[in-house]
Amino acid sequence: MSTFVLKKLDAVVGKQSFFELVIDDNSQFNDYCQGIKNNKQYYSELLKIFTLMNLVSQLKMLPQTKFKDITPNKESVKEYEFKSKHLRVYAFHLEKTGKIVAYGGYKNTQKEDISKFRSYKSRYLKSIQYDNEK
Amino acid sequence: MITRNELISSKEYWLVKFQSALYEQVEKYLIENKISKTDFAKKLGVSKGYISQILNGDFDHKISKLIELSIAIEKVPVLKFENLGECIFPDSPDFHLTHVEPKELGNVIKQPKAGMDKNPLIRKHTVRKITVRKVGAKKHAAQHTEV
Repeated sequence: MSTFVLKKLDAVVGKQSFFELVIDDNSQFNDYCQGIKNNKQYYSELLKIFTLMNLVSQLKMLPQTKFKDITPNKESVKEYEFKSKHLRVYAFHLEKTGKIVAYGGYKNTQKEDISKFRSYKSRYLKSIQYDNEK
Repeated sequence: MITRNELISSKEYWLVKFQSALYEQVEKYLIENKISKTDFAKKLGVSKGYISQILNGDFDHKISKLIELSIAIEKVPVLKFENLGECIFPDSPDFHLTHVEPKELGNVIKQPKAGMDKNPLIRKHTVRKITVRKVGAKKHAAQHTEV
């Protein structure tokens, strides 16, 4: 059984908390950020994504071109996509917790990224369900 | 991971924040006044694409355009400059209690150095030489002492 930890994103400050999802001591989102910081190509876009997170946290209105609800029909846990020109960051929302950033990807790998994000989300939701049943 | 300091010190943060504030105002105005993008573009004498750009949160034009646009939505932009260090945790409810130390805030009042008055904001300095050169005129030099 994997262990799941929510680590607060310190760069995001506002009314709603933001967390990164850490699975078995690995955070895909942290690795993604680190990769971008190291090669610098999309660093500016990553800063814009973090700014969008701050604005969402401060309950500001954002255009759909920057922040989009991508929740499938009949899904109760809301899913969101933060967008820049080339980057896509995926998060889901948990009541009383906040937004959990589970996956960072790119525009040209959107489909695979979303399916990986949904798999992480579902693993996490199962783990908290399991904990609640215990 | 991106740190709060890194984010707040970046131009991207302020640009996106600015663009999103403008988007919010224009969007609200259009909805409240039931004005279409096309009509608003006509009112401003700009293309529909230009309005879409604003509504996509991508406004990055001249200050004169910003003022023109603000007036068109019956608002005025108010420009305010704050110390960068004071913007690190402005939205956190416990901002003043836990997160910010004077050093991070950038509001440490330094001890006056030689040549400075007790009030660090008042500084005695000497401008030794000011050279004014006019076309066809000779060099002028003047010595000033300012307080």
